[in-house]
Amino acid sequence: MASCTIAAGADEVLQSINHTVNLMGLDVEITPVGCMGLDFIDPWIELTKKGYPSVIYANVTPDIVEQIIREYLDEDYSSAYAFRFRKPDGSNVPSLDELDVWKNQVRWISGKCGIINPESIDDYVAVGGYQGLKKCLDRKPEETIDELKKANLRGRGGAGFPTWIKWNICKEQPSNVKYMIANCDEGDPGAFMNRLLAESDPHRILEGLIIAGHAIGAHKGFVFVRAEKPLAAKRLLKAAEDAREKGFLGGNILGSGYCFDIEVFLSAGAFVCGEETAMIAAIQGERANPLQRPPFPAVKGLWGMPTIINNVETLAHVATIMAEGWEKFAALGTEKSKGTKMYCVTGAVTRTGAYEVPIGTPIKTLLYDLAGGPPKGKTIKAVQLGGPSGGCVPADRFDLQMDYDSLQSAGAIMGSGGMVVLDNTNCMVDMARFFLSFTTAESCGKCSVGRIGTRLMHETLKRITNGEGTADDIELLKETSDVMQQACLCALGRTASNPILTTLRYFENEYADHINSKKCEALVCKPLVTYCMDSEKCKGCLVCVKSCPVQAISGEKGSTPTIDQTKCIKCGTCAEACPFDAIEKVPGMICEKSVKLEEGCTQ
Amino acid sequence: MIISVRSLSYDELKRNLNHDDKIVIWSCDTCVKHCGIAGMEKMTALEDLLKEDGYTVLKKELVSESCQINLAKKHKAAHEDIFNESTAIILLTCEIGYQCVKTVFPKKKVIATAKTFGSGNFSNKKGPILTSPLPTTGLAPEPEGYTLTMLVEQFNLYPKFFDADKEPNPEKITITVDGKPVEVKKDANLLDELSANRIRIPHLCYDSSLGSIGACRMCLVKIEGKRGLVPSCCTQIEEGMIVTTEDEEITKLRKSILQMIIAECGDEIQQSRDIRYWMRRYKITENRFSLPKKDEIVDDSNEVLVKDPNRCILCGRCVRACANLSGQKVINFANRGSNTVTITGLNEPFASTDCAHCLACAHYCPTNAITPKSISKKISGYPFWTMITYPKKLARTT
Repeated sequence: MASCTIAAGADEVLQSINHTVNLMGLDVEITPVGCMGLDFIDPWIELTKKGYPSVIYANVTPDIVEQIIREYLDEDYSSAYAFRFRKPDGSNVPSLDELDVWKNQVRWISGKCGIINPESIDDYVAVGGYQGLKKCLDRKPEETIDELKKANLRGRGGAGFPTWIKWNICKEQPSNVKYMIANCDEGDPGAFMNRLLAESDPHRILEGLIIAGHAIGAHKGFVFVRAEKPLAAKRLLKAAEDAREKGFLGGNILGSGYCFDIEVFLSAGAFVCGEETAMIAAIQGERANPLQRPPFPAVKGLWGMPTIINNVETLAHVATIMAEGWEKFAALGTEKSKGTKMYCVTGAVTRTGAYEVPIGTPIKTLLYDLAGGPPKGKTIKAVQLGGPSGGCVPADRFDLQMDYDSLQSAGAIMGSGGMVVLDNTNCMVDMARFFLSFTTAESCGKCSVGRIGTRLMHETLKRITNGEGTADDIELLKETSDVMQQACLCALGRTASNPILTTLRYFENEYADHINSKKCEALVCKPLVTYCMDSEKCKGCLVCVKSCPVQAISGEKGSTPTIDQTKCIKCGTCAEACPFDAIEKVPGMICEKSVKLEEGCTQ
Repeated sequence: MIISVRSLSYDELKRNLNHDDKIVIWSCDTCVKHCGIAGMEKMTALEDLLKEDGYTVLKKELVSESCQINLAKKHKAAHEDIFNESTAIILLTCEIGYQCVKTVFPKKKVIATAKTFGSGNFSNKKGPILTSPLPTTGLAPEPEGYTLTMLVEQFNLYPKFFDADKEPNPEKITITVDGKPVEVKKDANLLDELSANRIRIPHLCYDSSLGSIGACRMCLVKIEGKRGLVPSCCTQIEEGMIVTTEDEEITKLRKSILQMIIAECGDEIQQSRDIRYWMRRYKITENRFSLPKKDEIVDDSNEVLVKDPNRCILCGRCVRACANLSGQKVINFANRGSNTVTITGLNEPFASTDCAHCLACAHYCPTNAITPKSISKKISGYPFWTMITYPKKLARTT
């Protein structure tokens, strides 16, 4: 029961299960669990009975719950999605490990998501939770940092800075007041791994936070959660309460003499709050504006004290590394970047979801093997990686390994790991415009270059998608982004032009189409498409004339009506209304068919 | 404005202090500054002098107008712990300011350093002149005015600030700027020290009295060993620094940033002195960028100030002046991203806010987006010491 499954109707299914179980008089235990990342099968249920295999049913609706339960009890598994473990002989239904989407994953931190009840601390302890913390409390902080150094964990928030170096800087500071912050302020379009972790396995984050606090010598921690993710905040809050009760949090943790407590802080909901110094300002109750660095937060942060801010995914890694040992972690990934990373694949794929794979996995594997490739009849054109600060990678470079350095060389960034897949119905210029409208609205407005630069680029892109672009506009975009990359105060501004630069690099032809030929091949930019009447298909029924909200279509019964292109607002209502598919959406600002027809007449 | 002259020599000041005193230097930022014996620079000079002689200076408190007792109270409340710790407050204010501060800190040792003669104005030729002397001075009203030199001679006072009695000699180090060695104060702000050495760096958001936020991005320089460009206003001087303040790349960048700022505000902004100066300096004749105009409503509801949002470049000087110098926090930012604006109060007319009319915001605004209304029209019924206007010549440019 995470936000994603609830949105897909899990609440109703749960009610239905309760109801059905009561009616059938069964003695069962119903455990709501978190999301296991396979969003395309939401809502799903898993049925287990002693002597029976564990079976997962996908896309369950309230009305088929009873049927599923009856079939399960009759040992008929034909409508199941998969078996959790081994499948019984002769069954057509695969086991999870046989599925592409499962077998290619290495579920290092998300392994318990969708298995344990996120609101139960006993569940977490039962699967080995808080073992890493116990180990860390028994030894010196130096040893914890040393273990992390051996694991060579790099920050999963985006920049990929080695976590142990950051911690070490903070630990070396003489101050006796230090703070630890978990960054759960994920806000880029298409990324939801932080929310998923916080909703499905919140104790893992807490454990990582406490270990980090112990290692740097902090006694107070914050979890900075986006206010738009209330369920994540609620679960973290509940987790903190339970942990406090069990002695994992608060004074004298597990009898070690170490004290650490946390506060769950709801952000005000600006994307820029994810920037470290802006987050600190927000916690201090100020306007969330980034500050000039240095000094870095590890030296001078929250209320002027040394502060470490780690992404919750990083902290989940810390907890798992401490419990499982660095050797297992370091065995995964590439030479320079160890371990696994969670990616959220959304957009034009058949299986959207959050997948955890070793760093260095090629983009192709993730998009085609795990996410199942494009829906029928479409082709993937590119993937936007790392949200508004990232860039796009075109389909011909999908062999690229996803690690921090390779992605940077392609112009994209790892970022949070959000992947928005774009197919041939997506316009790359429009995509760049969308991301710029996002950064324009979500930046802080403090530094002149960031504020005005994003606005300038947004206005320019708006012009291009409106068909008013000129050849000079491309130069203007490049110039502005040049200034921004050099002069902006924070990383948000310095990277804001990445979507433009990468689309210009890989899809310059689309920009040229928009500017020179005034057409949008993907049929996305409204001013650059035209609705065309096909007189061969048209039967003259006049449904389109009636459907048009602006009376742009006129004609008489029996003959092909004409569209007044000056009046047309390109809403597409007529095309949908036409029973004969006689109205076609074509790229460009003029309808070539009708032009030809007119020419024919005059000749 | 109020005319005051320093009445204490540096030795006399020291006689008033104990060696283990923990000192706060408190200065006005208005009339007395224009009389040449207060302000942030003077406080720094005095701090240097006192530190050389082994005194402990806890804080330099710059106040827009100490003669408003409310403001003095707010400053006390904002730094309660420091004031509690302090044992002496040296005032660089007029006598009215002294009375207010003494009322706020009745049990503290408060040392006044100036004698106040009455009200006057600022003449471009003569500097500050006294036209309406207080009866206690025994001087007759004089339309032509008494200059400070006349007052100093007649009353046997001190013509300049404490640093005239004894030259402060702070620890200096040598850094390299544009290939030349430059002597600068250790640990000081890079932009301040470059300005002191007559190396002009364009900046719009920084002022030494207000502190640095690094928002305008005009003062970017190159420092060897640091990645990319760094804003000099946010940089502390370090031993052996090698700074490049101007080269092709930096010039190009500054030109672009300036053009961006002008594009955001529209052509009207070019009337303000700072912008015009840097436009001429960087030979900007046309604008590469263009943006739709803001077209916002001018707020002239305040009795003494006019706020024109169309000329605002969001440098945040007024916000900091209102918060740090007056302690009122009337002006603030609202919204975010490209919708960011400065607002007064809770986005209400200027008149209905808590504005103390200290004019600090107008004084520090680099683009005249907040300007004082002409003195003649309003403020009848105000006590005379608030009738201060900022002489145009004195409006700071850099």
